[in-house]
This record gives sequence, C-alpha cells and structure tokens, in this order.
Amino acid sequence: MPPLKLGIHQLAASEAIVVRTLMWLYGGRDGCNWVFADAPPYDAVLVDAPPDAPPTIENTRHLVHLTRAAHASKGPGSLSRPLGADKLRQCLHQVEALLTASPAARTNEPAETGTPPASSPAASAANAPAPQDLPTLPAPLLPVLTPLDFPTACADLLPADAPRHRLKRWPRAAVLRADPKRIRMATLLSRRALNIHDLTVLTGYDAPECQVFMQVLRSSDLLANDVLPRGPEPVSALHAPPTAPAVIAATIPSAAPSLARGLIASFRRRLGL
Amino acid sequence: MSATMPLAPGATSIAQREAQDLLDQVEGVNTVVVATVDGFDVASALRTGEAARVAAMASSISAISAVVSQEARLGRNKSVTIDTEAGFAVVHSVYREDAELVIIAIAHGGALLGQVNYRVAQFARTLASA
Amino acid sequence: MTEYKIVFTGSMGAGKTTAIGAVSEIPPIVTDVTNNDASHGKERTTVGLDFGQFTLDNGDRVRMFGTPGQSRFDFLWKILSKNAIGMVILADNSRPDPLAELRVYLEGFADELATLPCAIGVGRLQTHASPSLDDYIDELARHQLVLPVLDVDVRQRSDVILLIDTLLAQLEANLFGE
Repeated sequence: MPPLKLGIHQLAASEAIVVRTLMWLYGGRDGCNWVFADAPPYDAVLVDAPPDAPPTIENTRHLVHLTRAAHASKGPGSLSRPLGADKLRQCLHQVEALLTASPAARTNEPAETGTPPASSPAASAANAPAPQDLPTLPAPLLPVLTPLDFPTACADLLPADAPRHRLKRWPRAAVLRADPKRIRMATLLSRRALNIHDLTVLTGYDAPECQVFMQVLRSSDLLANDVLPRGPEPVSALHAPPTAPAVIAATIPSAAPSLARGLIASFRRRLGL
Repeated sequence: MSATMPLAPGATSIAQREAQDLLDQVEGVNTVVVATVDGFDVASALRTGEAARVAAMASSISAISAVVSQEARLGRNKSVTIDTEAGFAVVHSVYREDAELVIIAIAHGGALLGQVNYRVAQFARTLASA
Repeated sequence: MTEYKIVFTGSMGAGKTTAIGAVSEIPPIVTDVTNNDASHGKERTTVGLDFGQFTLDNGDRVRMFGTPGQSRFDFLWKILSKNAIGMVILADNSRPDPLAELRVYLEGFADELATLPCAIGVGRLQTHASPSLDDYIDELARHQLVLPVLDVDVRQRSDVILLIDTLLAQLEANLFGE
C-alpha cells in the first residue's frame, strides 16, 4: 500500500516545523504509513481551526483539527496540543484505520463533534491502541538516510539544555562519507561536548541534519557516555582544558570571543567556505 | 640516517683536516662543522655540541639567508654572522661543482670576529676548489 | 592589521610546500635544497621553512609556515609553531611506515597538541591503500587524541581548504559558550 500523505494548513511556523521534523524522522517506517506532503492531494491535513469551522482544502480526504487540550476529543478528527511524536502517530494510525475502511462504512468526520456510533469505523479508529501499545519506535536515522529539503530549523524548538556529548574517537570514513558538513560537525564534537541545539547554532545546519548525524555517531558508539548537562565545557584533543579563548588570544590578547568569531567568519569568507 | 655523500673522498679528507686546523689554530673557536645544504655533517671538529645537530642548524640558516639575498636581489648568498651575548657563529656557503656545502664555526666571546671570518672564508675557498 | 599563523608539518614528501602553494595568494617562499637523503626519492627538500600567506577582508594576514619534515630539523618545529592558531600534519601514505612517521610528529608536538587545533591530512591513499584512514584514527586513539583525519590530495585547493576549515571549527568549538 502506498504511504498516506499528511499536509498542514495554517499552522504556526514553530508547529509546522515540529510536524515536518516528526514526519521526517518517523514517516514511512516502523508501522507509520504516512509521509509529509507539501502539496495536495492529501489523505489528511492537520489544520489549526476549530472543528465547527473547518477550512475548505481541495484534494483532501480528512481533516485533523489541532486543538487545545481542553477541547480535545478522542478520535481521528482532532489532535491536542502540545504536539508530540506518540500523539501524532496514534492520531495518524486512527485516521489510517478510518480511511482504509470500506467507503460505505466510512463516516464524514463524526469524531470532531461527538461520540461516533459504536459500530462506525470512526469509533474503531477512536479505539485504536493507546501509544503504549504501539511498537516502540526505534532510534531513527540510519546512515543511509539523507535529510529532506527543510526550511531552516528553528533552533528555539530544540532544548538548549539537553545532555551534551563529545566524540570518543574520530569517526571512520564510512560514517563521514567525505561530507564537509559531517566533517565540520564531527570536528566540533571532537573539541567540545555539544547537543543538537548547540550544533545547529554553531553550524547553521538544519536541526534534522544535526540530529541524523548525532544518531549516526551514537549508533556507531562514538559519543562519550559522560553527558554534560550543565553547560559546554571545552575539551582539548587530549581532554585537558584548552587555553581560552583558544590560541587566538595569544595573538590578540585583548580579543573578545565575538571578535574571534568575526575573525573565523572572515577566514571562511576568504577561503570561499 | 643515510645520506648520499656528494663529495669526492679527497675533498672530504681536506674538509676534515681544515676543520681541525681551524679549531686548533684560532683562539676561541670551539665548534667547526662542514655540512651538506640539506643538513648532514660531512666533516667536523668540536669541543662541544653535536655535529649532526649543528649541521642541520647551519643548513637552515644558510637556506633562509639565501632567500633573503634572493628577495633583495643581492646575488648569491656568501655568509651569515650570528652575533650573540657570549660569542658568535659564522656560517659560510661553499659552491662546488659536485655539491653545495655550508661551513659553520662557533666561537665564544674571546674570539676575534674578523679573524674567524677570515679563516672561514679561506676554508670555503679551499673547499670550493678541492 | 593583525597576523595569524598556520603551520604545516609532516614527513618529507607529504606535500607541505604544495599545500601552502595551493592556498597562498603570493608565490610561496621556499627554502628547498638538493636532497642527499638516500631514503627519500625526492630531488629537493625543505631545510628552513616554506612561507605563504593570504589576506582577510579586514586586512588581517594569515601566514602559513611549512616546517622541514626530517626530525633533525625539529628545533625549527618549535620555533615555527610558536603562536600558531592551528597546525596541519600531512602524511604520505606511500612511505614504508607512515604511521611511525606520524608518531614522530605526534610526539614532537605533544605539548602543542594539548591545546593547539590540529588536523591530519593523509595523501596518496588512492594509490597506496594501506595503512587505511581508519588505521590513522586508531593510531591517534592510542595517543588519546581525537583529531580530524582526512583523505586529501594537497594539489587540490579544496582539500587544503577543508583541512583549514577543520582548524577553524576547532577554534569555534573552543569559543562556544563564552
């Protein structure tokens, strides 16, 4: 069966990114038969509108209303905030059950307005297994994955205080695949314990891309187990504190970190990086 | 470490004899080394130091001096004098047909710079035509 | 105007002079002379230093110094690496024991490598597959070092720039959070 297509309509930018990221991470694998679609036709669309005022979206089979928790109702017609991987997955599972039922038995979104008839597919979908009954999602992102063409990730969505990790050893060539982006991320991690938020800030790369790579490193057992939750601590090649701010200070003793960052940017411009 | 010695054996023995004479006859000189341009010692007479290390340093100094004279368009480099608090060193180039060499003489403060310069230059001429 | 220094070191024939030439905006100054070392097939060898530079858009200059490769010139290694902002160690994989030669530089620059950003560029891997890049990584791990190790051809400007970019990334990581 080809994957079902999920779109979004008038979601806030931050929520749109969350949905795209979750679908990119989990869509199309491990029991989730949905993929994100940028354009119709859609099998379902996640909309930021109350159930009693559904928007008209062409080439759409089903609407899922994103609601506040107080207004949430069970079933495939709504999804309560805050967005989360398991909630989204369960909702899509319910919608899939609804859409794959026979056309004669399919009802037109009764779940948004009230309890569906017990014998209806919507009811069946509403009674779909709770998140804990679904197979546990494995750690995504095998080395064969490549990032989709995402808009620039909103680093604010990523927890800045998530545990940080650093490289235990330089990754093998098969992990880096001669990719300059991976090489840069690995280099940063060789020097300092970082999390995905830190990587996105330092590199400007999309959050999914940084997460892919961190997962690849983790699955290759290259990340040190000593997580550092409190804040970045610089580590040298020999894991001793470097002279801060690095060796640049030796040549410009009065250099502030911002000046040094400007210098590095100037370097990159000159070299065409 | 192996090196392909570019000098004829006769030239090598002349270099050794001249180095020893310089050390014995010039007041204040305590190290004389003849080196290839890439830093291998060919002949040496020393009261102090290691010939291999001195040879490497001499070749570096000579090479950097050669760059200076080229950049300044002053022709071929002949010699360099390193003047220090407690003495001096003279580094002299030797241009032979079969090889380029470098002579370094290191002296303490009691030596006369002019005398050492003269003797090293004489050594270089002798070795160039040997 | 401020000046910064990047040092290129590594075994004879590894491509230090070539690497500097690939990036320098001026014809590099070289102090190479006739090679009398029978263990190397090269005609010429660096005995002083190689020098190249490029200018940043704010007028600051980056000077690149290449050291002689042979250990008898190690007195120059310390001098040339003083106040450098980063170091590139180049290896020639066609040598009889390139890992042993790498060890010479890891040990010779052990003090500097405690803090100085450094990257390892391995050349001639395409024609000499052994030791592999992974063997170099293992060698670094034996020295408790986690440094970028890249397969490079220093005749390609892009490869030399990639090495310099890893130095910049290490500097960025050092500065992060300050």
